[in-house]
Amino acid sequence: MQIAAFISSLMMMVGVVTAPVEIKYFGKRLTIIRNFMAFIFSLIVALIIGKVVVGL
Amino acid sequence: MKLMKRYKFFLVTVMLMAIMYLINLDLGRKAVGVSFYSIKEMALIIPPVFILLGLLDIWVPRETMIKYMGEESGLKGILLAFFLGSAAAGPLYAAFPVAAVLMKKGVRFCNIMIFIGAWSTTKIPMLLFEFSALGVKFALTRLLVNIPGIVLIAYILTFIINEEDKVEIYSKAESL
Repeated sequence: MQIAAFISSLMMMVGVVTAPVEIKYFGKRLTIIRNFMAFIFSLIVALIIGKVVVGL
Repeated sequence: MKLMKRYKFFLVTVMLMAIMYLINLDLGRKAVGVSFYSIKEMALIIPPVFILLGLLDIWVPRETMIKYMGEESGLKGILLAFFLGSAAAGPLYAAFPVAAVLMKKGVRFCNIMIFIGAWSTTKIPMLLFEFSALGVKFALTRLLVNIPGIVLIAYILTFIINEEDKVEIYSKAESL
């Protein structure tokens, strides 16, 4: 379940393949920071969902 | 040579796919299937998005947009950004041109980031699917964690990015 949660949020927020498009619109710096933060955030979401859904 | 350079990512991917085909036929077939699905999705999603964008660009005056989502819009702007992002359909790359038009209309940077975040994680069609496929508990938890997360990320990004970058991003959106 945690893995499902991690993969799902990761796929939604982090775009490695679409990064060139994102760079075109938002610039390199913002793209890298945004994707990195989304990655970390996905981990956090997965942890919380794991705790809530599966139980402590 | 220039063409090769431009499509190097594509070429490498095709090569990897061919190698995968040789090693594992089943997996290769699946990968090709996914690729064609993505191409189809893009071909179906991008034209309507651009038509709607054109209409948004022409029908909604800049002043209205600034009033509802500009620097002074506050909570109203945040809610609207969430709503716009959640109501949309389509993959994340379709959100970037929309974001560019919003920037052109004078929408606050933070609201743009919230819009991108909402587009990627709180989409309504996807939520409905999640409720039925993964359960109410899963979907609600994700939503409750994601909404503050999106706002937090948006504010951090706005804080990190300096004024120069912001001006550059906005002028780039203007010229698109």
